[in-house]
Amino acid sequence: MAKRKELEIVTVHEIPGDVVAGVVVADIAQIEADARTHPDADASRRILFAAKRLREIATNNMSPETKEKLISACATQR
Amino acid sequence: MAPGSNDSAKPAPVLLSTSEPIFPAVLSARASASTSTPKLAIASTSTKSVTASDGGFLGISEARTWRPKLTIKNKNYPRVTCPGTFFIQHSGGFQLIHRAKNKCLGFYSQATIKDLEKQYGKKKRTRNRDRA
Repeated sequence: MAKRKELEIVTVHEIPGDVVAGVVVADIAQIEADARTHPDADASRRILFAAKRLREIATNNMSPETKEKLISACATQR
Repeated sequence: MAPGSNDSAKPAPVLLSTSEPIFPAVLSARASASTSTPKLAIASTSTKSVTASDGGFLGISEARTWRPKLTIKNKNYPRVTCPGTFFIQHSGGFQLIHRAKNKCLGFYSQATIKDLEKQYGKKKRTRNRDRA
C-alpha cells in the first residue's frame, strides 16, 4: 500500500505572513476544542478562559482605550 | 508563623479582563511613570517596531482570516476557508496547507473545524433596504 508523504508542520518563523491571522485563530479554536475534552474540569475552565482572552486580543475585540494603551506601551518599550 | 503577622490582610488575586492591560510592558510603563526608579529591561522576542499601522500582534486582527466557502463541492470538507490555504483530510482531522508554498500550517480536529464553521461559516446577508 502506498504511503502518504507526511508534511512537516511549519515553525512559527516559517508561517507565511498572509495567513498568520488565520493560523492563530485556528490554533486558538484547536486549544478550545481540546480544552472541552480535558479530564480535569478546573484545567479545562482555565484553558478556556485564557483562550477566550487571547482570541479577543487576536481578533481586536478590545476597547479603543485598551488598544491605544497596548500600542503606546509597545512603542515606549523600544 | 511569626507572631503578629496577619495573613488575612493579604489581597486575593484578581483576574484581569481584556479591558485592563495584561502585558508586562504596560505594567512597567505604569511603574516608571509613578516612580523615578530605573526601568527594568524586559526580554523581547522581536526586534520589529509595533505601531497601529504596521501591525505587530495587533496587526493580525486586520489581516485576512476565515470566511465561508462560496461553493461547496464536498460536504465532508470544511465549509470555511482561509484565503491562500486549503484543507486535506488526515487521520480523522484536517491538515491546513499553504497553497503557494505547499507547507503544512497545522493539524485541526473535527471539533475545531466545527467551531470555525460556527464562527465564520455563516454567509453574510446583504439587505437592500431601498427595495420595497
